[in-house]
Formats: sequence, structure tokens, C-alpha cells
Amino acid sequence: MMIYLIIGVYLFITLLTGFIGYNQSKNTAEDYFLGSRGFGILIMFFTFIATNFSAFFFLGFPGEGYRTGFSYYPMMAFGTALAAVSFFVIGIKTWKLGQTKSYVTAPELIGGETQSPPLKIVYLLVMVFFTLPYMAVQPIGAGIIINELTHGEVPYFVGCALLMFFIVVYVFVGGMRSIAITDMIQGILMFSLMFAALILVVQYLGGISKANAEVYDKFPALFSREGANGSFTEKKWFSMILLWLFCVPMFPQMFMRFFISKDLKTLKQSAVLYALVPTILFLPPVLIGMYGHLVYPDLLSEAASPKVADKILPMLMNNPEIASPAFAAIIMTGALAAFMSTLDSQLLALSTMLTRDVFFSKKENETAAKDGFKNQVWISRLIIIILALIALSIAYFKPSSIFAIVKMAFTGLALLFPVTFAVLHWKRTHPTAAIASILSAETLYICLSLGWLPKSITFGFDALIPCLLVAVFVLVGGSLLFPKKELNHPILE
Amino acid sequence: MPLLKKPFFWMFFFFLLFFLAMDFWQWEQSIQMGRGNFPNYFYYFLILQLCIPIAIYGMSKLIENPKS
Repeated sequence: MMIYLIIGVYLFITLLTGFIGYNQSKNTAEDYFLGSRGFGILIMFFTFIATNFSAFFFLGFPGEGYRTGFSYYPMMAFGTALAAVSFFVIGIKTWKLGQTKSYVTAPELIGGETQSPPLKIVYLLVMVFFTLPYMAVQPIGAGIIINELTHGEVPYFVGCALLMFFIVVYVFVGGMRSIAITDMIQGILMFSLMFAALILVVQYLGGISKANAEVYDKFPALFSREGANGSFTEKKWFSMILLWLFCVPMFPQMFMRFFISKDLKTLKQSAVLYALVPTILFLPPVLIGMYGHLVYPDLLSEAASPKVADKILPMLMNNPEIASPAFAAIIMTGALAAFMSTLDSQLLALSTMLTRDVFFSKKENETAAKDGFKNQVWISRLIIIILALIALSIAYFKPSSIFAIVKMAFTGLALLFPVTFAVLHWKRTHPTAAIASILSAETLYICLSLGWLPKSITFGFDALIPCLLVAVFVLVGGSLLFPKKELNHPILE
Repeated sequence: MPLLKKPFFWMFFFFLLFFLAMDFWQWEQSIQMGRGNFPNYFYYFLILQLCIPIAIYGMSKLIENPKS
């Protein structure tokens, strides 16, 4: 009964904050999509981290801590902190262009600056292709969490549908304002509950120093640089740290956040704080995963599925010697918060892109930003419902191809970075070369991922590196070869 | 310092941080445990990671007042 009460209170608070956002809204398209571009530092900070840190942070990180060991922490924390540099490289000019030209989405900006509708469509298709399946698998995680929290009393699909319903309600009514305010609550929950979980585990093990010493004594490989499972080679390490720098700003839901800051100072402050967070926040889940070996040492045995390690945090919390059932349920609502704060932003980002970049022309979009063009909001709301239904049907059938695409989403989106950077910073960028760059790099990446090309051509690096080199080479070479066509951003001159 | 106002300085600084994160010379050495029984490379990365927000803050001041 207590578990239902805790889940109910959490969902009620989320819905309430969503409606607070709705009450502050101004009923214009720009307000619905971007909160009138007026968010201050507190909301900007929380919305950046809550949007980017998905349920993977709550379940996947401890799982990787269990499988890989301590080395996973510096790789993720350094790489993610470095991604804040791209907030400067991409974010500042994006914000300026958004202010002067009323851009709302990344494809709109890229197409508008190059005056190339085909480039906008290609860019949009890549973003949707990789983001839609990523969004669609989120309810699967939510269904599993609710099912485990209630010890199987709430069936998996009922959990998926319930959480999706709550998200759709507050995104539907309040758009970006509701999302940003709920992000703040969810961000605080994620932060505090992860630390609470670490404190409980450490208390049980007799202190952090003792726990570290015991892990080192019994499982020294967990402290090795290559990782206990040997997952890091020097070339993989290099590739993985670079991946976050390029992929984080290319998530459509993250890119949209460059537009919503009330001023440039706020955006810069958010970048500084964002860079600080992974150092603090990524340590507890990795430690929890490692300490899990001291309580459940056999999760990687041949009999167990490798994915069982992803349940190490719920398993530790469900251990009555570590936490009471009520407290365990409270901590696991942090996982729900992490899941909801990512899914709601993905839902709005995709529906905004499909509304503005597919249904409306550039001229109509410019009008909509100024005069409360309500058609856009209603079409976007309709698309939110359609996307939610697609996600739920995927959660129901769980097609294996979806998981294959999700695995590719990070690198697939990172390959848009060279074109985005060039459009913002290099006036010589040619739209045809940009299209060729995206298509060649993505094609190469898909061929490598599906095994249609031998892995040996990556020379031991992650597929990101050769694909990125191809993207840059085609973009620069093509732009120099094609007749000069200067880009359209006087604001930046 | 005039050097700190040059964007190339900050570009160089971030490249330097990135290459310092490729600490492969430490990979071959045996793991030494430091304070709190954390491995020594934890403290090395802690310093590198804290340099990132500090550098971004410095860079943001530079971009805020490009002519100062």
C-alpha cells in the first residue's frame, strides 16, 4: 500500500507542477514550444541535466559500475563535462540566431541559414530517425520499474501506459513551461535520491573507505583502467570521450534548450554548472554498482543474463538489511523522475520539429512566433498524442529492430555535428556539401553497425571516428569545390 | 593577461585537457590507492574535470567582454 502511495504522491506532484507551468503560459506558439525564451539560471540548469540524464543514469550507470568498474566514472564524467564546451561552440550562436530570426528547431535553423529546404529535410530525417526509437523505448523502462516496484502487482504494460498518460497530460497542456518546471523537481529528486541510495549502501558496508578497500581486495580488476570486462582499449577510450562532446548538443531536446535561455549570460552560466555536475553526480551510481559485488557477487556468472547487472540498484534497495521497503520505493521514484524528464522533452522536441518543419512553411513559422498562431500548438498537441501511441505500441510489441536503432542513436546524431558547426561558423559552407556530408557519414555508420562493412576499417576505434572524418572531409572538400554561396547570418558578422 | 583574452588560448587549453584525459602512460602502471581508498587516477581526473567548468567560466568572461 505504501508503495502505491509513494508513486501516487510523486505523480500528483509532477502533474501539479506541470499545471503550474500551464498557468504561467501565454498561449502563443513560441511560449508553447520555448516558454517565450525566458528561462532563468535555476530552470536552465535543471532542465539541461534532467533532460540529458535519462533512466540510464539511474539503472545503466550502476549496471556499468558493476560490469566495468571504477574506470567507467572518469570516462563518463570527463566526457560529459567536456560536452559543456559544445554548449559554447554551438549554443551561443544558436541562441543569437533564435533571438533575431525566431528559430525554434535545429532543422529550421540549419535550413534557414543555408536557405536550403533539402538540407533541412535531410537534417530533420536523421534527427527523427534516431530520436523516435530512442523515445519509444523509454516507456519500456518505465513499465519495468513500476512492475518491479509493485512486485509484479501492476502489469508491465499498465505501468508503461500510466506513466505515458501523465506525461502526455502535462506536455499537452503546458508545453515547454510545464516540462521545464517539472524538470526542476525531477532534477532535484534524481540528485538527492541517488546520494541517499549511496549513503544507505555505504552505511551498510561500514563506510566508503572500508567498502573501497574490500572491493579492491576481493575484485581488484574493478579498479583497472581497461575495466573488469576489458571493455576499454586506448582507442575506445579516445572515441568514447569524444562521443559526448559531439552527440550531447545534437539531441533535438538538448538543442532546443539553447533557444530558451532568457539571455546569453544565463546560457553561459548553465554551461559552467553543467560541466560541474557530472563530476559530482556520476560518482554515486558507479560506486553503488561496484559495491553491489560485495552483496551480490554472482550477477555476471554464465547462468545470469548480462543485463541483470542493470538491476543492481533496485536489488540493493530491495535488500531489507540496506533499506526499508518504503524508503526503497522513494529512492526508485528517482528512476521514474529520470525517465520522465527525458521522455517529456523528447516528446515535445519531436512534435515541434514535425509541426514546424513538416506542416508549416518558413514564412508561416515566422508569423507564428509573433502572433500566437494557435494552429501550430494544436497540431503539435495532436502529434504528441500520436507519438505517445506509437511509443506505447512499441513498448507493447518490443520489436528487436528498435533496440538496434537505439544503440546507434548517439553516434548517428553526433555525425550531424560537423554540419551544424560549419553552418554556424564557416560562411563558405555549401548546402550540397552539407547534404553529402550527412548522407555519406550516416551511410558509412549504418553499414558498419549492421556488419555490411568489415570492422577492421575502423582500426580499433569506435565507428564514430572514421565516420566523423568522412563527414568533415566531404563537407570541407565539397564546400571548397562547389561555387561559393555565402550563408545567411548577418547577426554573426 | 592578454593571452587569456585570445580564443586560441582557450581552444588550446581544452585540447590540452582532452589529451591529458588520454593518460595511457598510467594504464600500464599498477593501481595505487589514495585517500579514502580511491585509486590515484580518481584524483587525477577530479582535477581535470574541475578544470573544465573553471575554463568555461574564464572563456565566458572573455566572450562577454571581447574588447576588454
